[in-house]
Amino acid sequence: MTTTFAQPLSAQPAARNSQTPEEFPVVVRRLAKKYGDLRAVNDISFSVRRGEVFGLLGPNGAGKTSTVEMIEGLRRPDHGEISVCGFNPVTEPNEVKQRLGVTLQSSALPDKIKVREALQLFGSFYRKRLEARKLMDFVALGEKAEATYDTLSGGQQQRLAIALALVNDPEVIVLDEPTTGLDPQTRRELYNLIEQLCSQNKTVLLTTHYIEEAEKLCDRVAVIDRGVIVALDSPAQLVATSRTHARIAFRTAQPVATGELRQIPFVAGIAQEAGGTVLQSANAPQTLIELVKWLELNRVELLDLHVTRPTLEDVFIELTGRKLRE
Amino acid sequence: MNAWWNNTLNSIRLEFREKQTMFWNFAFPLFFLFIFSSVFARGKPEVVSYLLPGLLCINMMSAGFFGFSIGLVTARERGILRRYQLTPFPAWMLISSEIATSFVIAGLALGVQLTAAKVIYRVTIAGNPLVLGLMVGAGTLAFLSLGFLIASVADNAKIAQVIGNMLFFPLMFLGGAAFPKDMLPKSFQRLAEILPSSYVVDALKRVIVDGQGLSQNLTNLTVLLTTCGCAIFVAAKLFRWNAQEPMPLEKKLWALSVVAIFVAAALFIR
Repeated sequence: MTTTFAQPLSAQPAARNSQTPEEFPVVVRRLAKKYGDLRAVNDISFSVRRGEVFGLLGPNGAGKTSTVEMIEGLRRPDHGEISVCGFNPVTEPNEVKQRLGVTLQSSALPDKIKVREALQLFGSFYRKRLEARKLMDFVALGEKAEATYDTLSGGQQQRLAIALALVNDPEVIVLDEPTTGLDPQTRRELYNLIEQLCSQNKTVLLTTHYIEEAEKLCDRVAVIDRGVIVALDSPAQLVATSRTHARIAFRTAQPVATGELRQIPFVAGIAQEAGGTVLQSANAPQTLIELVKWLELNRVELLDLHVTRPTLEDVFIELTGRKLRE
Repeated sequence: MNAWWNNTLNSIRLEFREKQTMFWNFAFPLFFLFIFSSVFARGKPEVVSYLLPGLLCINMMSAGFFGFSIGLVTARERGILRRYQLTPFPAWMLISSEIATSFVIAGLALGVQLTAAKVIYRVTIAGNPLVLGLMVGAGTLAFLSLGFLIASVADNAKIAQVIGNMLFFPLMFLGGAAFPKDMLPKSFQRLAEILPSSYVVDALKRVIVDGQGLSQNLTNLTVLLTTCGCAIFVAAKLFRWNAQEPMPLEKKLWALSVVAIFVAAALFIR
């Protein structure tokens, strides 16, 4: 049913050779998984480049977790191929587990286990392991070494989960919704941690339903909805190709005639909103220059102005026709 | 094997940190011993030694049906097992390590109960202490294995608790752990013959009270080890890492039929 990516398959050996495990530690081809009648994952393909942070972005139930769980070897795919560092999670789960570091969406440790003990215990399950002290320092839990799991805060537990994911010095790290349920402060701390991982050239595959997270952390994002990848690119590129216009909102001391504003290049729409005017523009910089010129010419005093560029959220709504957090 | 030892030692350490576990494993059985020995036996050593096999059996059963099974189901529900599933540590090693942990804790608890009976109520053990240890060990393993089976069948801790109680009370009252089987009607006595608790109580009575050796306990030993093997076989087939993964109906039916065949065979052999 499944074949290791490195083994010869059928067609286009040349195309496959260009995706070696060294270059692409995670390769997913035509992956599918059904639960009863529900197609949770429906023909998904992507490759994660070594050293990049790759995001799977989508609403709850889009198929993100099912996809990563098949990569981790926790679930068996119905169809398709997966290669993790050249190994097949179905037929060679141990080789995959030796090279993978994972945080799960819902997992826990025994209440009374100490941070240091947990790292030492789980480290002993692997051929290659990192020192507990190093890991605790990395996730800033050094002072909590002797604290038991049930005394840790949610953020500390999540940092421990990340330390556990790193315990085998993995080639690939899979973070499944790493910041869900955490407060904004803790979430920022985790972002810093993940950014540090990237600076160490680790390959990270991360799922999220937070747009900010995907924009801030990911080199490339696969937007996934109802088990299908609807777009795959860098966050900036996804936003750039968006049909949604930038918004230029401004307030003036004197009222402006909207009819004249329409003459400004690239303006696609004008609206008067509470306390200001909003222009939709297909080319925000050009519109901005022309707008300022027009205001000066007409001696209209500018009180306030800000530009909102389209976000991944807009892209997501465009692609799927619905909001991410429903 | 290093990983197995690490995990077992770690789990034993964790058990000692849980106040609840300590209470149910050590304080509660002692309390039971005092009630039975002081109130029912009025402190007479020969009566206490007659009650002791039942008390030890109750202790073993609660270790398996409540301690071990609830512990395993809770670990599955909380996602602790899934954390293990991500590692190369295999399922059979994890389960055997957890069974070994419970075996050690139960062994200590039984030892404390026995010592208390000897020191406080001056009970004498007529038979060989090694044979006693062997029979206690076999009984504990049998109930831990049944606890594993309960954990594999039950979808959550509540259901495990219900199944545990449904087994615990019949096994205690009909198996002769709470009072002698001779007091039961004939039909119940016949039913009691297929309960593992009967064999544990019988074995311990033979060693503690009658001073019999291994040769008179071979049937008991065989029955207990067979129960152990059968329960582990079925439980391992049904083992789940993930609480969100409900067990398919076919598997439930399969488990039920295997257990039914086992019980029928036991009835037939008797």
